[in-house]
Order: sequence, then C-alpha cells, then structure tokens
Amino acid sequence: MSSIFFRILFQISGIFALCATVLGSSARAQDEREAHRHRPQLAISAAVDPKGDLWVVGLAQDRNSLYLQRVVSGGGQTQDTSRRISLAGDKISADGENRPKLVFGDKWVVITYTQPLSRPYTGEIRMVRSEDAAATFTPPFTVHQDRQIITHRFESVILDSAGALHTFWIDKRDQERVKQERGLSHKELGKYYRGAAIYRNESKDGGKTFGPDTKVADYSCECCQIAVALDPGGKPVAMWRHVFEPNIRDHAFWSLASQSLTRATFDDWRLDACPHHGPAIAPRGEQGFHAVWFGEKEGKAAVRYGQLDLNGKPITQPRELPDLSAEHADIVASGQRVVISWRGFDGQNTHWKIWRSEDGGKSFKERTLGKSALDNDYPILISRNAREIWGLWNKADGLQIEKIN
Amino acid sequence: MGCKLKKLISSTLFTALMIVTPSLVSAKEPLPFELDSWQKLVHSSGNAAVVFTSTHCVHCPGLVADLLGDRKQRRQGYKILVVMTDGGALDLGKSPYNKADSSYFFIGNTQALRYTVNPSWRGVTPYVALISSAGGVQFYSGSPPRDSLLRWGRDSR
Repeated sequence: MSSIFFRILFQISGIFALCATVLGSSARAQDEREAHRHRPQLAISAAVDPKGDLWVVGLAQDRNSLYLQRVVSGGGQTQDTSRRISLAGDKISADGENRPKLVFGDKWVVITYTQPLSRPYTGEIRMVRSEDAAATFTPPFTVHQDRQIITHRFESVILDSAGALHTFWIDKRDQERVKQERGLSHKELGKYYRGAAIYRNESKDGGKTFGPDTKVADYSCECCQIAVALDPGGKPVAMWRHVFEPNIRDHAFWSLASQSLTRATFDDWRLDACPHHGPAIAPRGEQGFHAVWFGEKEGKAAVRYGQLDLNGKPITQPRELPDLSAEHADIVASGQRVVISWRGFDGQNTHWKIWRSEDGGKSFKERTLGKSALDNDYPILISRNAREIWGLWNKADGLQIEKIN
Repeated sequence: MGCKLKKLISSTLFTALMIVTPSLVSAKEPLPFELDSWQKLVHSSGNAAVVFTSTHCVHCPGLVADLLGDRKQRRQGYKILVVMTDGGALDLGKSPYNKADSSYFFIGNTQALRYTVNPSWRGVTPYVALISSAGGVQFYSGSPPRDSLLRWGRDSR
C-alpha cells in the first residue's frame, strides 16, 4: 500500500516539475519579450541655446514623455536636473536614426519628434514649443498639412540666419498617389515610384504657424536620416540617401538658395534594402561642405569622407574612415578644424572614436574617446560658440560628454 | 483501488498540463535572440531562411511573403524565421511575419548580436541568411537573387 502511495507521489511530483519547467521557461520568455518592448531608447539630440548652454533631449524611461537637460554651461559640464515634457499620450520614435530634435530660437525653443501611427511605417512629425525658456511647453501639434496615415518620418529641423525654422522630412504621399492611381500592389509599386520623397516647410514665427508642405525631391530612401546645414548665406541645405535609377542608394544634395538637386556621392550601391544609415554634413567656410556617409563601393562597405562644393558636387576623392567597423558618423567643422566621430564594434566593445583635422580636412589624427559593452546610441557632435566642439555618447549606463580640444 | 486513484490523478494533471501549456507557449510567440542564439540556429534549424528585419524596414514584409510563396510553389521544406533587430513589434496584424515558422527579437547590445551573426553585417535590413542543413550559411543584404535561392534549395535538399 505504502509503495503505491510513494509511486503516485513520485509521478505527481514529476508532472508538477514538468509543469513548473514549462511555466518557468514561458515566464522567462514573457519577461524577455517585455524587456524587448521596453528596451531603452537611447537616441538623443543636442542643441545650444542663445546663452551658449548645451542641452540634450531624449525619450524618458516611461516612453510617454521627453526629457530635456542642460549638460554644459559656462566653462564646463553641469549636472542640472532634467525637465520632463509631457506629450499628451503621443508615442515617440527615439531609436536609431529616429530621434527627437531640439532647436533654440532667440525667444523660443521647439522639440520635434516622429509619432508612429496605427499602420506600420506611418507617422506624423510632431512639435512642442516653449516661450518661457523651456519651463513649460505647448501640447504637441503636427507640423505638416498632409494628414493621411502614411509615412511622414525622419524629420530634421534647422534655424536659418534670418530666423526661419525649416523642417525636412521623408514623405510618402506621392508614392501613395501613384499606388492608388494605378491600383498597384506594393511589389509592383517599385517599378513606378522608387522609395519616398523629401518634403519641407518653413515657419517664420518659431513654430507657431507653418507655410505649405513643399516637395524637395522624389525618390529618397525611406529609412535614413536627413542631414541639414546652413550655407554661407545662412540658408539651409539638405543631404539624404537617394534612390537613383534603378536602385542605386547614393546621396543627393539640395540647396534652398539655388533650388538645385545634385548627386553628391558615387558609390553606386545597388540595393533593395534599408541601410538605416543617413549622412552628415558640416559647412566648409565659404566654399562648400564636408560630408560623411556610409555606402558600399565596389563591394566594400565603409564610412567615407568627402568635400562638396556649394551645390553639393563632390570635389575630392572620398576617403574611407580608418575603421572597417565604423558606422553612423557625425561631422562638425569650425574654421580649419574638422572633427568626425563614429562608433565601431570590435567583437567585445563598442568604441567611440574621432578623426580630427586642423587643416581643413587634408589630414586627420585618430583618437578613441570611450568604449562600452552595453547598448549605446550613435555618438553626436555639436559646435558651441563657434569655438568649442563637444561630443556626446548616450549609453545604457549614462551619457558621456567630451570637450574635443 | 490504488491503481485507479493513481490513473485518475495522473490523467487529471496531464490533461490540465495539455490545456494550460499551449496557451502559454505558443509556437508563434517571439523568442529572445541572445548572444548564443545564432550558433544554435545554424546547428539546429536544418534548412532555413532567416530574415533579419527592423521597425522601419519597408522591404522586409514583402521579402518574407516572397519566401513563403517560393516555399509553397516549389514545395521546399525549408523553415522561414524572422528576427526583429530593434524594439519594433513582430505581431503586425496581417503581416507575413505572422506566417513565419518562428520569430525572434534581439535582447541586449544590438551591435554585439549583429556581430555574432556576421561581423561584416552593418545593420542593413532585410538581411538574409540561407542556412543549409550541413551548417553552411550564405548572407545577402536585401533579397537573395532568384538563382541563389534556387541553388540553395537544390543543394540543401
């Protein structure tokens, strides 16, 4: 009798153990799915206010709000408490090349971001603005006039020397129109319309009102950031990954002053995929621009540096950055000083590196600013007071800030 | 008496387990993709087309749909696996991702995970790995060319 009892007990225990194992592994997978959904979104942007203080904006841990923090003031770094900006329930894209942006005017500050909408790959460019030195912000509002549930994403924002605020974004209204007019499937669409379009608008009152949505160019890549800078006349220029016929994902350059579109790179990278890797540009005095971009040329993937004229035409042979793993480079120039920053991975750690030139980009010296084994954002550079260049690298364990002397 | 009791208790618990388990561990539930996941996939998946995707990858659903169509049309036995490499959702309504045999999501340092798959992969999506049952892997940025897919299908039978 007792042996039967123990056998029953043993079998029940076995079944309970099996249940516990299954439930345990399921719970672990569920926890990890939750972690995946709530993984830190580290993408930040930085800007300098009229007093010369350097601020960063990013997505708060609750994912429903933004934080704004002054990180450099006066002669060096500061430890200001970050300010929380509530966004009335908006979702925010703040990962990879989608990041909130920050622009200071004389008496106002605006923050923009992309809000994903109900359908995949759709979004709206949203903005909040403050007129009390970032103490309070308006509720969010949409920057563009088109309200279709389609792609309006990857915005870039810049203030020109006359005080007009320019917003550029990737927009699929023309692709949608072609698709509807011809009754095309997504697969057929590529034969009639390549990629997306670049649109822009202007606000002459610091984001209170906006001019019409204006098309800059058809056939941009769908998933890469747009680089913006000011030309010597203080007007904006933009550079983005374009889809040249038939599927060449090189870069186009557009200038508001000349209203011209120029092919700026000739890697000849033929690809039906998303590189998720937009370019960066910086003014080159009165003569043009410095540019960095990622591409595959003759089978070799690399980040390359080159110089462009005022219309975006390349005037130097591209140079590869001295790191085969380099990705997501940024560039800033001040006089003859040119600094390029990037991250690269060696199998164990991500390294934050810079390439610095004091002769206008003729020669460079490499330096490592940091390393991390944790998840990390793309390092960014910013010029402060036209004299200092600062680098910022946001990592899962905090923000690293370096003055690049 | 003891035997009947034993059978009753065992069958009750077994039935309960069978009812509860599938709802908790669906084959379609995305699984974590960690640092050792790639090697496990290569060595245990048999013939498999692995599509690495991302939130903003507009080319990815079409590619997965093409692979599903190819497999059906050619009556191939390969698995189709989808891996989300950023924080994006894999459950996208009628998305072809839902018809993949298994789906995964990156957990941890994205660069480190990419490196385990292929050190030269720079984040382009779709990024496709065609795994053969012998353990060989071919990588493609974007859709694999049709002839490569056919050759892989032939060689991996």
